[in-house]
Amino acid sequence: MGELDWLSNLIKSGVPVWVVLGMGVLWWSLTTFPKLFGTWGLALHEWAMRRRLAAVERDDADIADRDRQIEYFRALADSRAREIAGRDRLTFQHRQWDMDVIVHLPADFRPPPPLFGPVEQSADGS
Amino acid sequence: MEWLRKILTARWRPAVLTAGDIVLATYAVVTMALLRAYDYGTGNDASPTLSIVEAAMPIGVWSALFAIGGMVLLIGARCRIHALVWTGHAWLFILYLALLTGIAWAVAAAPWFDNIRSASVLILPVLMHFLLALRTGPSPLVAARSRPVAVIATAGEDDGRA
Repeated sequence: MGELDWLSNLIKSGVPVWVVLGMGVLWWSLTTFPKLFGTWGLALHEWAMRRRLAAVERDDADIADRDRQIEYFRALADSRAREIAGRDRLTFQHRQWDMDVIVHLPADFRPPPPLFGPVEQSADGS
Repeated sequence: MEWLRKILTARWRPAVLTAGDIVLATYAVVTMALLRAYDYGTGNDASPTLSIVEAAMPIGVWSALFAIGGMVLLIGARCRIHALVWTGHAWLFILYLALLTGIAWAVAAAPWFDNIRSASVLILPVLMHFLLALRTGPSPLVAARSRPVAVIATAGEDDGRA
Protein backbone atom coordinates (compact mmCIF):
# COMPACT_ATOMS: atom_id res chain seq x y z
CA MET A 1 0.00 0.00 0.00
CA GLY A 2 2.97 2.26 0.60
CA GLU A 3 3.52 2.57 -3.12
CA LEU A 4 0.07 4.05 -3.60
CA ASP A 5 0.24 6.53 -0.75
CA TRP A 6 0.85 9.38 -3.18
CA LEU A 7 -2.37 8.48 -5.02
CA SER A 8 -4.32 8.28 -1.78
CA ASN A 9 -2.93 11.64 -0.68
CA LEU A 10 -3.74 13.10 -4.08
CA ILE A 11 -7.35 11.99 -3.81
CA LYS A 12 -7.64 13.14 -0.22
CA SER A 13 -6.37 16.57 -1.21
CA GLY A 14 -9.40 17.03 -3.44
CA VAL A 15 -7.72 16.69 -6.82
CA PRO A 16 -10.59 14.64 -8.39
CA VAL A 17 -12.98 17.44 -7.54
CA TRP A 18 -10.73 19.98 -9.24
CA VAL A 19 -10.34 17.73 -12.27
CA VAL A 20 -14.11 17.47 -12.65
CA LEU A 21 -14.51 21.22 -12.14
CA GLY A 22 -11.82 21.91 -14.74
CA MET A 23 -13.37 19.55 -17.28
CA GLY A 24 -16.78 21.07 -16.64
CA VAL A 25 -15.53 24.61 -17.14
CA LEU A 26 -13.78 23.48 -20.32
CA TRP A 27 -17.02 21.92 -21.61
CA TRP A 28 -19.02 25.04 -20.73
CA SER A 29 -16.59 27.42 -22.42
CA LEU A 30 -16.27 25.15 -25.45
CA THR A 31 -20.03 25.07 -25.83
CA THR A 32 -20.67 28.73 -25.07
CA PHE A 33 -17.70 30.35 -26.81
CA PRO A 34 -16.67 27.97 -29.60
CA LYS A 35 -14.73 30.71 -31.38
CA LEU A 36 -12.19 30.71 -28.55
CA PHE A 37 -11.16 27.21 -29.56
CA GLY A 38 -10.63 27.95 -33.22
CA THR A 39 -11.55 25.57 -36.01
CA TRP A 40 -12.09 22.62 -33.70
CA GLY A 41 -14.43 24.58 -31.49
CA LEU A 42 -16.45 25.84 -34.44
CA ALA A 43 -16.62 22.37 -35.98
CA LEU A 44 -17.89 20.95 -32.71
CA HIS A 45 -20.42 23.77 -32.44
CA GLU A 46 -21.65 23.13 -36.00
CA TRP A 47 -21.96 19.42 -35.30
CA ALA A 48 -23.95 20.04 -32.10
CA MET A 49 -26.25 22.51 -33.84
CA ARG A 50 -26.85 20.08 -36.69
CA ARG A 51 -27.81 17.39 -34.21
CA ARG A 52 -30.16 19.72 -32.35
CA LEU A 53 -31.84 20.86 -35.57
CA ALA A 54 -32.16 17.27 -36.77
CA ALA A 55 -33.85 16.38 -33.48
CA VAL A 56 -36.27 19.28 -33.92
CA GLU A 57 -37.07 18.18 -37.46
CA ARG A 58 -37.67 14.62 -36.27
CA ASP A 59 -40.08 15.95 -33.65
CA ASP A 60 -41.83 18.07 -36.26
CA ALA A 61 -42.19 15.07 -38.55
CA ASP A 62 -43.66 13.03 -35.70
CA ILE A 63 -46.11 15.79 -34.88
CA ALA A 64 -47.13 16.12 -38.55
CA ASP A 65 -47.64 12.35 -38.74
CA ARG A 66 -49.79 12.41 -35.65
CA ASP A 67 -51.85 15.32 -36.99
CA ARG A 68 -52.40 13.44 -40.25
CA GLN A 69 -53.56 10.37 -38.34
CA ILE A 70 -55.93 12.43 -36.23
CA GLU A 71 -57.42 14.06 -39.35
CA TYR A 72 -57.84 10.68 -41.04
CA PHE A 73 -59.61 9.09 -38.08
CA ARG A 74 -61.79 12.17 -37.61
CA ALA A 75 -62.88 12.06 -41.26
CA LEU A 76 -63.50 8.33 -40.97
CA ALA A 77 -65.63 8.82 -37.87
CA ASP A 78 -67.59 11.62 -39.59
CA SER A 79 -68.34 9.47 -42.66
CA ARG A 80 -69.45 6.58 -40.44
CA ALA A 81 -71.74 8.90 -38.53
CA ARG A 82 -73.22 10.23 -41.80
CA GLU A 83 -73.74 6.69 -43.08
CA ILE A 84 -75.52 5.61 -39.88
CA ALA A 85 -77.74 8.70 -39.92
CA GLY A 86 -78.66 8.06 -43.60
CA ARG A 87 -79.57 4.45 -42.87
CA ASP A 88 -81.71 5.50 -39.90
CA ARG A 89 -83.52 8.01 -42.10
CA LEU A 90 -84.18 5.40 -44.82
CA THR A 91 -85.36 2.86 -42.28
CA PHE A 92 -87.79 5.38 -40.81
CA GLN A 93 -89.14 6.31 -44.26
CA HIS A 94 -89.51 2.66 -45.19
CA ARG A 95 -91.35 1.92 -41.95
CA GLN A 96 -93.85 4.67 -42.68
CA TRP A 97 -94.42 3.24 -46.15
CA ASP A 98 -94.83 -0.28 -44.70
CA MET A 99 -97.48 0.97 -42.25
CA ASP A 100 -99.38 2.73 -45.03
CA VAL A 101 -99.34 -0.39 -47.16
CA ILE A 102 -100.62 -2.56 -44.30
CA VAL A 103 -103.48 -0.16 -43.59
CA HIS A 104 -104.60 -0.14 -47.22
CA LEU A 105 -104.32 -3.86 -47.82
CA PRO A 106 -107.50 -5.53 -49.11
CA ALA A 107 -109.18 -7.98 -46.80
CA ASP A 108 -108.39 -10.99 -48.99
CA PHE A 109 -104.76 -10.16 -49.17
CA ARG A 110 -102.49 -13.15 -49.18
CA PRO A 111 -98.81 -12.84 -48.60
CA PRO A 112 -96.72 -13.62 -51.67
CA PRO A 113 -95.48 -17.19 -52.05
CA PRO A 114 -91.92 -17.88 -50.96
CA LEU A 115 -89.27 -17.21 -53.54
CA PHE A 116 -88.02 -20.78 -53.29
CA GLY A 117 -90.49 -23.53 -52.86
CA PRO A 118 -89.89 -26.72 -50.89
CA VAL A 119 -87.25 -28.83 -52.57
CA GLU A 120 -88.73 -32.12 -53.64
CA GLN A 121 -86.73 -35.13 -52.68
CA SER A 122 -85.80 -37.65 -55.37
CA ALA A 123 -86.76 -41.30 -55.16
CA ASP A 124 -83.37 -42.40 -53.86
CA GLY A 125 -83.59 -39.83 -51.08
CA SER A 126 -80.74 -37.65 -52.33
CA MET B 1 -59.48 -11.46 -17.82
CA GLU B 2 -59.49 -9.34 -20.94
CA TRP B 3 -58.82 -6.20 -18.88
CA LEU B 4 -55.78 -7.86 -17.30
CA ARG B 5 -54.42 -8.85 -20.70
CA LYS B 6 -54.89 -5.28 -21.92
CA ILE B 7 -53.03 -3.88 -18.91
CA LEU B 8 -50.15 -6.33 -19.19
CA THR B 9 -49.67 -6.06 -22.94
CA ALA B 10 -49.98 -2.26 -23.24
CA ARG B 11 -46.54 -0.99 -24.28
CA TRP B 12 -44.85 1.58 -22.08
CA ARG B 13 -44.80 5.01 -23.66
CA PRO B 14 -42.37 7.36 -21.92
CA ALA B 15 -43.95 10.47 -20.44
CA VAL B 16 -43.86 13.50 -22.72
CA LEU B 17 -42.93 16.55 -20.69
CA THR B 18 -44.65 19.80 -21.50
CA ALA B 19 -43.04 23.24 -21.30
CA GLY B 20 -44.90 23.80 -18.01
CA ASP B 21 -43.35 20.64 -16.56
CA ILE B 22 -39.89 21.85 -17.51
CA VAL B 23 -40.49 25.27 -15.94
CA LEU B 24 -41.69 23.54 -12.78
CA ALA B 25 -38.64 21.24 -12.76
CA THR B 26 -36.39 24.26 -13.23
CA TYR B 27 -37.84 25.99 -10.17
CA ALA B 28 -37.53 22.73 -8.23
CA VAL B 29 -33.82 22.42 -9.01
CA VAL B 30 -33.33 26.10 -8.16
CA THR B 31 -34.90 25.43 -4.76
CA MET B 32 -32.65 22.41 -4.25
CA ALA B 33 -29.53 24.42 -5.07
CA LEU B 34 -30.48 27.34 -2.83
CA LEU B 35 -31.35 25.03 0.06
CA ARG B 36 -28.03 23.25 -0.33
CA ALA B 37 -26.27 26.62 -0.36
CA TYR B 38 -28.12 27.60 2.81
CA ASP B 39 -27.31 24.30 4.47
CA TYR B 40 -23.62 24.48 3.61
CA GLY B 41 -23.49 28.09 4.69
CA THR B 42 -24.96 27.51 8.12
CA GLY B 43 -24.27 25.09 10.95
CA ASN B 44 -21.61 22.46 11.19
CA ASP B 45 -21.24 20.29 8.12
CA ALA B 46 -18.21 18.30 9.27
CA SER B 47 -18.76 14.83 7.90
CA PRO B 48 -16.46 12.07 6.67
CA THR B 49 -18.25 12.02 3.33
CA LEU B 50 -17.43 15.67 2.78
CA SER B 51 -13.74 15.32 3.63
CA ILE B 52 -12.51 15.33 0.02
CA VAL B 53 -14.99 18.03 -0.95
CA GLU B 54 -13.78 20.21 1.90
CA ALA B 55 -10.17 19.50 1.02
CA ALA B 56 -10.80 20.88 -2.46
CA MET B 57 -12.54 24.03 -1.25
CA PRO B 58 -13.90 25.27 2.09
CA ILE B 59 -17.56 24.42 2.57
CA GLY B 60 -18.42 28.11 2.63
CA VAL B 61 -17.10 28.46 -0.92
CA TRP B 62 -19.26 25.54 -2.02
CA SER B 63 -22.21 27.27 -0.41
CA ALA B 64 -21.45 30.48 -2.31
CA LEU B 65 -21.02 28.61 -5.59
CA PHE B 66 -24.37 26.84 -5.16
CA ALA B 67 -26.03 30.13 -4.22
CA ILE B 68 -24.61 31.84 -7.31
CA GLY B 69 -25.70 28.98 -9.58
CA GLY B 70 -29.19 28.90 -8.07
CA MET B 71 -29.58 32.68 -8.34
CA VAL B 72 -28.34 32.78 -11.93
CA LEU B 73 -30.83 30.09 -12.85
CA LEU B 74 -33.64 31.77 -10.90
CA ILE B 75 -33.06 35.16 -12.54
CA GLY B 76 -32.73 33.53 -15.95
CA ALA B 77 -36.00 31.63 -15.52
CA ARG B 78 -37.90 34.60 -14.09
CA CYS B 79 -36.67 37.09 -16.70
CA ARG B 80 -36.62 34.48 -19.48
CA ILE B 81 -33.00 35.09 -20.41
CA HIS B 82 -31.82 32.05 -22.31
CA ALA B 83 -28.11 32.58 -21.70
CA LEU B 84 -28.63 32.76 -17.92
CA VAL B 85 -30.77 29.62 -17.84
CA TRP B 86 -28.15 27.78 -19.87
CA THR B 87 -25.33 29.06 -17.67
CA GLY B 88 -27.25 28.24 -14.49
CA HIS B 89 -27.93 24.68 -15.54
CA ALA B 90 -24.37 24.15 -16.80
CA TRP B 91 -22.92 25.73 -13.63
CA LEU B 92 -25.01 23.58 -11.31
CA PHE B 93 -24.34 20.46 -13.39
CA ILE B 94 -20.59 20.97 -13.03
CA LEU B 95 -20.89 21.76 -9.31
CA TYR B 96 -23.09 18.76 -8.54
CA LEU B 97 -20.84 16.51 -10.59
CA ALA B 98 -17.76 17.74 -8.71
CA LEU B 99 -19.60 17.27 -5.41
CA LEU B 100 -20.69 13.78 -6.44
CA THR B 101 -17.13 12.92 -7.40
CA GLY B 102 -15.76 14.12 -4.06
CA ILE B 103 -18.41 12.34 -2.02
CA ALA B 104 -18.19 9.17 -4.13
CA TRP B 105 -14.41 8.94 -3.57
CA ALA B 106 -14.92 9.30 0.17
CA VAL B 107 -17.73 6.74 0.19
CA ALA B 108 -15.73 4.29 -1.91
CA ALA B 109 -12.97 4.37 0.71
CA ALA B 110 -15.38 3.74 3.59
CA PRO B 111 -16.10 0.18 4.75
CA TRP B 112 -19.18 -1.28 3.07
CA PHE B 113 -19.64 1.97 1.14
CA ASP B 114 -21.06 3.54 4.24
CA ASN B 115 -23.16 6.67 3.51
CA ILE B 116 -23.51 5.73 -0.12
CA ARG B 117 -26.95 7.35 -0.07
CA SER B 118 -25.25 10.76 0.21
CA ALA B 119 -23.65 10.13 -3.16
CA SER B 120 -26.67 8.43 -4.71
CA VAL B 121 -29.06 11.33 -4.07
CA LEU B 122 -26.77 13.55 -6.14
CA ILE B 123 -27.22 11.42 -9.25
CA LEU B 124 -30.64 12.92 -9.96
CA PRO B 125 -29.66 16.63 -9.82
CA VAL B 126 -26.55 15.86 -11.89
CA LEU B 127 -28.68 14.15 -14.53
CA MET B 128 -31.43 16.77 -14.41
CA HIS B 129 -29.04 19.68 -14.86
CA PHE B 130 -27.10 17.84 -17.54
CA LEU B 131 -30.23 17.06 -19.55
CA LEU B 132 -31.70 20.51 -19.08
CA ALA B 133 -28.41 22.16 -20.05
CA LEU B 134 -28.02 19.89 -23.05
CA ARG B 135 -31.58 20.45 -24.29
CA THR B 136 -31.49 24.17 -23.53
CA GLY B 137 -28.23 24.75 -25.37
CA PRO B 138 -26.14 27.93 -25.31
CA SER B 139 -28.45 29.65 -27.79
CA PRO B 140 -32.16 29.15 -28.48
CA LEU B 141 -33.01 27.11 -31.52
CA VAL B 142 -35.10 29.04 -34.00
CA ALA B 143 -36.48 26.56 -36.47
CA ALA B 144 -39.39 26.64 -38.88
CA ARG B 145 -41.62 24.63 -36.65
CA SER B 146 -45.26 23.87 -37.03
CA ARG B 147 -48.05 25.00 -34.74
CA PRO B 148 -47.80 22.65 -31.73
CA VAL B 149 -44.09 23.34 -31.33
CA ALA B 150 -44.62 27.09 -31.51
CA VAL B 151 -46.94 26.72 -28.54
CA ILE B 152 -44.19 24.89 -26.64
CA ALA B 153 -41.60 27.51 -27.54
CA THR B 154 -43.69 30.33 -26.14
CA ALA B 155 -45.34 28.47 -23.29
CA GLY B 156 -45.59 30.52 -20.15
CA GLU B 157 -45.16 33.80 -21.99
CA ASP B 158 -47.96 36.24 -22.54
CA ASP B 159 -49.00 35.65 -26.10
CA GLY B 160 -51.54 38.45 -26.11
CA ARG B 161 -54.57 36.18 -25.92
CA ALA B 162 -56.67 37.05 -22.94
